Amino acid sequence: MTWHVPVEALRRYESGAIDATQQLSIEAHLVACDFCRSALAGSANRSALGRTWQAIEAELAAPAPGVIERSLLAFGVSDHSARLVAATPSLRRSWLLAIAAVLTLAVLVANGAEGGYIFFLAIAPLLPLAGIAAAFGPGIDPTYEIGIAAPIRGFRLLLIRSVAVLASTIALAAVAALFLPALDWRAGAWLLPCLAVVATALALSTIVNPLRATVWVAATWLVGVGAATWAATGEASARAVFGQQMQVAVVVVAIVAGFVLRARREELERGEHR
Amino acid sequence: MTNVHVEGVVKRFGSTRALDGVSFEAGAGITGLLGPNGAGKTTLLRVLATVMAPSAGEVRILGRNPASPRDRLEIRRRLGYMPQEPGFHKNFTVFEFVDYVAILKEMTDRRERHAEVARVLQAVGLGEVESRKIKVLSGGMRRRVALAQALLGEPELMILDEPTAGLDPEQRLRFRETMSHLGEDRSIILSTHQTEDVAALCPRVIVMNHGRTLFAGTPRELAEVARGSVWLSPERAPDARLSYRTGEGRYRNIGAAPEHADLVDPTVEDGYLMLLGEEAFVEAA
Amino acid sequence: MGPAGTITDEGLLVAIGEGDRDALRELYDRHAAWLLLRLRRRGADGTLAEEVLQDTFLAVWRKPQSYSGTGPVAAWIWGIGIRRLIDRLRRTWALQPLARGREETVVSAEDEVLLGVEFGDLAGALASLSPELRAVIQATVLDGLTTREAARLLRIPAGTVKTRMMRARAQLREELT
Repeated sequence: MTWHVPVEALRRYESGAIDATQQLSIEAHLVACDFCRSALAGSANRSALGRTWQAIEAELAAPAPGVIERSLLAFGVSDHSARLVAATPSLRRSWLLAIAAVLTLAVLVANGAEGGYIFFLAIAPLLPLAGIAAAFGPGIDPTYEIGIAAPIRGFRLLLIRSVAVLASTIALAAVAALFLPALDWRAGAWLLPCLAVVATALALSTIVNPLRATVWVAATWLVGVGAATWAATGEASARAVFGQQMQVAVVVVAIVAGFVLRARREELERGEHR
Repeated sequence: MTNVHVEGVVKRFGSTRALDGVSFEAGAGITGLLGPNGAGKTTLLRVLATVMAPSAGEVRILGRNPASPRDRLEIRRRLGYMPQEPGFHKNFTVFEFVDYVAILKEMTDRRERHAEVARVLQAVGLGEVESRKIKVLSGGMRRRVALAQALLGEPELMILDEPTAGLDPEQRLRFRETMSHLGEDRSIILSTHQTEDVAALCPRVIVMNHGRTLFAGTPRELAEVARGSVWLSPERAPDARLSYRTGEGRYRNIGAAPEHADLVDPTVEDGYLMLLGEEAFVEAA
Repeated sequence: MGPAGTITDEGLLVAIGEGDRDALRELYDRHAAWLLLRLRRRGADGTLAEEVLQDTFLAVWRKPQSYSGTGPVAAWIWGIGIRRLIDRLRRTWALQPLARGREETVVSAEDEVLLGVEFGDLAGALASLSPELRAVIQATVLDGLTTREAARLLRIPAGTVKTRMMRARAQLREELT
């Protein structure tokens, strides 16, 4: 490259006081000439360039989204909501593996033991509860205190995480259900109880802390199912416990819980103020 | 302007009173909360950080009442809180963690948020280790991460619970340096049981024990509490409230000084011990 | 290009592909200044130019291998930047999304010659063009945009771009021969 842009022309280009034809020519030249490019580098844009480099470095240090996050982003979830979900402790691989293990056990019991089906149907709704308990609560969410002191709406956080936990647990349970002995209505009878149990726990979280709420609901569920199973005997036990009546009942419970949750959602902002 | 106003605050846990009538005010600059373990400092700070409500008493933070949900939200938007035992998600990198807290602080715009995270990490000197996982960092660096998240959003009020605990002298010095810059523009309340932190950093000190405030004033005034009650002796003084061996081999005594005692100028620590000593004295009686 | 011992832009891209952040910094130091200026001349004001600059170099970091090896690295970087700018401007103008996929650029050998012509000759020739014709030449020949992309940037129909290109070329050919 033997020809270079004269210095004063370059300065005029930088300041914008240059006519369009000269601009085109300079720009075409800059693409090919390293010497003139570096002559530009000492320009008035220094602070903008420094700022932008820092922004680039910040982006490079930012977390690369994992599988869950990327699928959420693909669905159009905002990046900050996706991050909240991704940071939920009970969506970690180890946790999901634990859930899968429990489901495997339940499937084996269902296939092996007499009346084992009930075991599976009773266990399945407990899993998302455990996941929600794990996502919150002082002992388990490491940033619990910082979270309380932060302005984020407790309701929003609870909802985001609960939906994430529920969705992933249901997905795993659905896969497990394919291995149940008889693929009839019973293979799906756990689904509505799952939703009802979670909705109730969330509604209860507006009164006591989420950890306690999930424990109470889990206990009530087990006691209820246990009592119903003991009362009904024989072949029809699964139908008696998890049949149509029960399904309708849990739907009603879920709807009521939904209303309670909505009405009392401000309570979730109080931290330990209650 | 008063940023924190606390009056007659009581906090009961079951039958124990963690706070038993705390009253003080804090304005711009750094206020040190000094007291032994179990004095109620953490409980008080949690009340100030709107993490818990008092059982009784009046609290006003940044002119607002934390018992009202709307005011509470406004307080939280202007607050930075560094808890005593900040927990970190297991596999987070430094940047990831602070970014997560930034999301909790309602910073939804990604570019702005990342720029702010980078800024606070630079401010505490962690710019080089942004991508490192927290679990491989030393205790001192983890503390700095916890401090960084408290800086997000340039809060008007910062509440730091034992920020210097577990730091070695060099780290503590660096921390004080960072703090003194920050204290210029906002209110900072930090708790410690190290009198040197207070003497070096805090224009205002509040001494607490057993859930009560024993003293509020400048470090100089705190030292003056022990004026005339601190003396040196070659041997341990039996009727001094406190008598301990110093590096030079003599004994430093705090208490009712005998006649012809070798009186020395009291330090902040002397004043502090004197105050605690009174409490202990009352208990024993 | 460059004195002995200095790494080329292509070499920097290889290093970037291996995750060398210092290489990205070096590339940034070489190219960010002119890129920012040129983006500003294309209608990016204030923070938009900086954001496009940031996104351009992040794209370079993430996919250095998409540089095909033909033409200077600076031209490839410019291609990323100008397209990113059009995307951003498009959103504020609420135009239709750009179709993805390979399209022929309109640069011909003749146009390459035009670019190679020195300052004095070209200035005179281009000066004779009207601003509209000049804008089209700038977008297609200089910025390397396709007809459709140029239409998006200039906010005129693609057909108009084509006709203006033909008129401009004809005029320039007359002036330069």
